[in-house]
Amino acid sequence: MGTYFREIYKVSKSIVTGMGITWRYFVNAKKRIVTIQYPHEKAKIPSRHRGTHFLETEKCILCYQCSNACPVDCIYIEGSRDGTVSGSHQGKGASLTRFSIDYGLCIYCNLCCEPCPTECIHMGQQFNLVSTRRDEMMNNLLTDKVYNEADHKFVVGKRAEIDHLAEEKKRIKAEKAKAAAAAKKAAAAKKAAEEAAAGDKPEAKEAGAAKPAAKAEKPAAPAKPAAEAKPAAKPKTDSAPKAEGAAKPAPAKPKADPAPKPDVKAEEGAKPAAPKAPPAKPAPEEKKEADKPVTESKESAKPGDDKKKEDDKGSSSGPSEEEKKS
Amino acid sequence: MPETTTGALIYQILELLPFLKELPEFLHIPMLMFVTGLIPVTVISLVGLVGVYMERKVSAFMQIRLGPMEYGPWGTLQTLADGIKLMGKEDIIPREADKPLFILAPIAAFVGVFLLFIAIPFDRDIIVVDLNVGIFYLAAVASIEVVGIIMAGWASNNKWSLLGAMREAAQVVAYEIPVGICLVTVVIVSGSFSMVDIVEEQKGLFLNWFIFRNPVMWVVFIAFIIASLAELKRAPFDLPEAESELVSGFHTEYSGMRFSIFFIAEYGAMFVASALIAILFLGGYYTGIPFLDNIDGILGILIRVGALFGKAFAFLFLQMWIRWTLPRIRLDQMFYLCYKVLVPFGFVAMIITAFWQMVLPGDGFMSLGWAPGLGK
Repeated sequence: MGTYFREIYKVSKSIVTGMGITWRYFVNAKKRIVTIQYPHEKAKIPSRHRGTHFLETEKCILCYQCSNACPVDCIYIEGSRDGTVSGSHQGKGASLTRFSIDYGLCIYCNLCCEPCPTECIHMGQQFNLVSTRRDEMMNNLLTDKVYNEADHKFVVGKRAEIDHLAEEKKRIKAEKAKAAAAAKKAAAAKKAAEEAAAGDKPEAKEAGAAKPAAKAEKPAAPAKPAAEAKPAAKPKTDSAPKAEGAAKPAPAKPKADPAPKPDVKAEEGAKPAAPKAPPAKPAPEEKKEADKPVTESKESAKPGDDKKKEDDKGSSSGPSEEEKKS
Repeated sequence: MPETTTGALIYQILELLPFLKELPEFLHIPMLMFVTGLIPVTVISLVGLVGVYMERKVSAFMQIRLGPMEYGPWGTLQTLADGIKLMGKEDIIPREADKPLFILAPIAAFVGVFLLFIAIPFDRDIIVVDLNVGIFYLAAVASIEVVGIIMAGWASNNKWSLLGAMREAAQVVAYEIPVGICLVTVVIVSGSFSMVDIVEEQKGLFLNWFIFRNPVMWVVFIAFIIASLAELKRAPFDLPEAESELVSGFHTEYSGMRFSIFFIAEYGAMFVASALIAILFLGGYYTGIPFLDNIDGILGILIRVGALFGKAFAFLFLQMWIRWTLPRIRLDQMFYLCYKVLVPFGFVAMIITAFWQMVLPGDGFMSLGWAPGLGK
């Protein structure tokens, strides 16, 4: 009997306690409510939030590092570094006809922002990415709008111009390279002649064995080739002043040159740089290309193209749709 | 006491609505039924609307939320919008369901609640029929809703629905005993079965209310609140629709308008129960302040009706408050509470009340000696 009443007392007490708690919550509701009326108010988003990207176009140098880093290949870049494409957005020494991201694929990993040498691409605050159609997920970062039909027409229309610019540049380069090669040959021939001359001299020395004379001549002998080498180098610089001069101080330019061009040329063009293509290539290769420019660049471009096609088939319907369109 | 019989009521309404007299005579009764039926339906619907909105807001505030905010100021039109949405929904009847019963069940449940409103006095004269067995009538008709629910559970051809309906039947049958005991206690005090008489007995200062009539009346009061919660299958007694066990009990298969009829019926029944608590223990439509109760005319009617609605909504709030505080109890706990706690406590209180009435008949024990019959 005692437990019976005790139990009733305990239950009543706990009920009263619980009701007191809810009552306090009810009365103080106005102060405590945590709800944010979302479409009308917006929560404060942390500054490192990874929302949709935004691009500082004027900083972009069209290096394709972001699209290379992208694990899902959702960044599509087109443009030219060979000259100004009319009607395009101007980056830093580059004109961009397209910089779009497919948010249907993007995983917001931030890997595109990390390698950017000019820090022009950032993750933004925007998180509401609802769209009713799949192609609305493609965002044009140059205009911060959906990558629409008109944009695509513009991009496709500009491909010929980009190709033209690329070919133009290639042609100029080939000419320069030829000139450089000729100059080198000339230099090499001169050198050989000199060496032959120099080679003759020591023999003469040994043969003659006139020590003082040799001593007197020795300082002169090294000096001579050096003096002659200089003139030999000079014709080089004279005939191909930019080929050599540009190659050494600014490795970035020639690096990017050979590969992106053929890539853009490739029919679909949606996929920017072939991943294996040159950006990371060191200077020595560049020199090779300078030696035999036309063939080398073609060879390097072809495997890239094949790979691209495979990627497109494998990845998603996005690029393939574009292929159909184009 | 006003002798309101059905016949007298008909003549009263005929006088109120002169256009009825111009109709052919055989249409008088159906038209009257229609007109008088319209009032409870309107009240039930409005109470449903307000009740659902209140429930949402109360639950939201108790959980540090805002609740509905989109339609109307502070979301006041949300329930209306939901009602319109439910009306526009597809009418789905399961293929294996018992069609006639399935269609009839929500109507039966609603009719049960609708009939309850007939015996609720909103004012001395604002009552559809002041039956001389009003309390009996309420106790009897309250079970009709259960019939509707068992029909729904059976007709749905769904084990969850059937289990919910069976639980409902067991629960309501069990809790009719403590409810009956509480009603009998009130009848002992009032000396009448008529609802209007019961309220009139409590006229005057609020110390005349039945809850203050004798020292054990508050036990009956609390027992009645608990038992009515169980009868209404409200939390913590919502075993028949236990979401975590039975999907949603008897209305698992219901959708659209049929579902909303169940919903409205539930809130109507909640309101009736709250009004009953007010009527039986807290002076019904009287405010408990004599000079306010003695006002005549339309203002007096408004005050009295307002008082009843105010009390009823206070208990509605209590029901919600309990719902959002207490977890659902187990089936065995539910029966334990009924048979081992409420019934013995009710019996003891009833016997004490009976003796009290024998020894000290009259007004409230708290006004005993210094304010007998104050303000009557």
